[in-house]
Amino acid sequence: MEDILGYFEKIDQAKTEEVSPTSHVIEVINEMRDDKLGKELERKEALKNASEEEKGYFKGPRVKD
Amino acid sequence: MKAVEAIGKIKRGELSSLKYIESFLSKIEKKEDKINAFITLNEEKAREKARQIDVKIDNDEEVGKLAGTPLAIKDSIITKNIKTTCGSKMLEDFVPPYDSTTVSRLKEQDGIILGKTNCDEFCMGTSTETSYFGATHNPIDHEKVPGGSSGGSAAAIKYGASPLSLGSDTGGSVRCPAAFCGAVGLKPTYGTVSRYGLIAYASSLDQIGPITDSVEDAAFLFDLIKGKDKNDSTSVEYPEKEVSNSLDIDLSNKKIGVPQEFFGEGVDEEVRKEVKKTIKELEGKGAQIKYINIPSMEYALPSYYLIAMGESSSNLARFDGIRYGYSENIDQNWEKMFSETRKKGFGEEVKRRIILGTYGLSAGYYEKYYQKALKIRTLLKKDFKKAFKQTDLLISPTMPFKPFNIGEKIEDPLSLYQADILTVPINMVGLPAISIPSNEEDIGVQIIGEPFSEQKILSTAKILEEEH
Repeated sequence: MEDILGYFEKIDQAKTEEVSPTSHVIEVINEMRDDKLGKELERKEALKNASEEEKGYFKGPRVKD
Repeated sequence: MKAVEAIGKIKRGELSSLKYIESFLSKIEKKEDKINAFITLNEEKAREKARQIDVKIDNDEEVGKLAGTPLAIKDSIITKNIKTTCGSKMLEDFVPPYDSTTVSRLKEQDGIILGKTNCDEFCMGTSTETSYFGATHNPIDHEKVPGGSSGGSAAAIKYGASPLSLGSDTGGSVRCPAAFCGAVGLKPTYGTVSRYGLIAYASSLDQIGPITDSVEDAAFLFDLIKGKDKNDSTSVEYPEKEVSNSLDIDLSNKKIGVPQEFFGEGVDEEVRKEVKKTIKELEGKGAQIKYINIPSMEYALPSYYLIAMGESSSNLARFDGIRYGYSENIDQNWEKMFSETRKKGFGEEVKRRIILGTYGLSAGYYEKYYQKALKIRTLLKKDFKKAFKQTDLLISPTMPFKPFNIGEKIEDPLSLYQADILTVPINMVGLPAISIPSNEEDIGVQIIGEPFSEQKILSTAKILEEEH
């Protein structure tokens, strides 16, 4: 892990004072969809891969000890 | 036989879809044990679907453009009711309730899923050795790695287990295995192929692409999967309806750039020589060769890894063991359950990238690592833009060296990362690029173009394919 971090240090040398960051490479305009209900997964289908379910909900671990 | 030729035969009634599929299944039966290209096979359902399509053809009913052609789909792409593991214990039993957009588009055209192919765990690797389901062997030489992370898809194509396949490419994962296995791999322009249903690694870099045995098949498959999808807000409409309709190009008025940094330190002499021969071939076809520079290339690899690891640390937070995936100790408290699940469900390389990615994004280090990497991305973008002002296409090796032995580099992650040096800059800038075999079948040539120049790239690759 140390070696990898050491390797990453290399980017310090790049001159980027006047450069702005790029997080998305292609130009896209934000598009909103109509606020209409689409076709969603059936509840049964959505719960199919859950480790545990209860009354049609995902069951999570205890929040309080 | 190319897939496009077989499809013509099926449609004319000269070959049945079932017979076509059986020819691949018999190869699988003979060789799959030695190669391990697939995590899941879908033989029976595939046969059943083929029979249905054959009946349709017999009755002169309309069939889709794939007409019952089998497909090998990388296991990072989700398939309804077919187990999708992404090479991880975390998703060992995950059966998706819906299809990815790419898969549903292929199914609409009567494509048949033959199986799900092996890959590095969560696509994190260059050799398909980090898969929880064991390494895939290179069909050219079983001792060697097939490349990665889409190693299963490329190996399946090479040993004749499927005529068409899909991979996904975040930093070279389509092109690398194509290069190592002597196949054709196209990484499309970012945004042209929907990522809906692709298990996310690094969302701003990920792109699904075809791996095939010929350029024509790659172009055909690309046409079927490309185009805007309302379920992926980063997807864009492709400017042309088809790229596979015309794969002819006159190189006599084209300038092909040779970026010097792609032939520098770390690139084996043998690889360099082979690719230079290919450049001569293009020159022979009338192309003008121009030597150019991508100065920011020296920072591309570390900044790619910082971005990819950062994005993956966030993307992989969804594996909590509750809604889907491996689960441990649900009776414990939240913290214990979450960390135990992730400790046991993820492999070593995935954990390494999550830890490093989290570190690079953390307060106090964000500017130094992640943001700096994004700035270098801007530099790369500028360098490539400048390069394409003087040239039509760029050419380089795909990989800096030939396939290495299984087990040779896996203990030294940094040396594996360095194998990606020539492929990651392309993802950083979102450009399209193809890898096709040189005269040596396990040395790939990479042709890089401007956004949406897939037709130009594919046609140039086709010229080289005819030469080789």
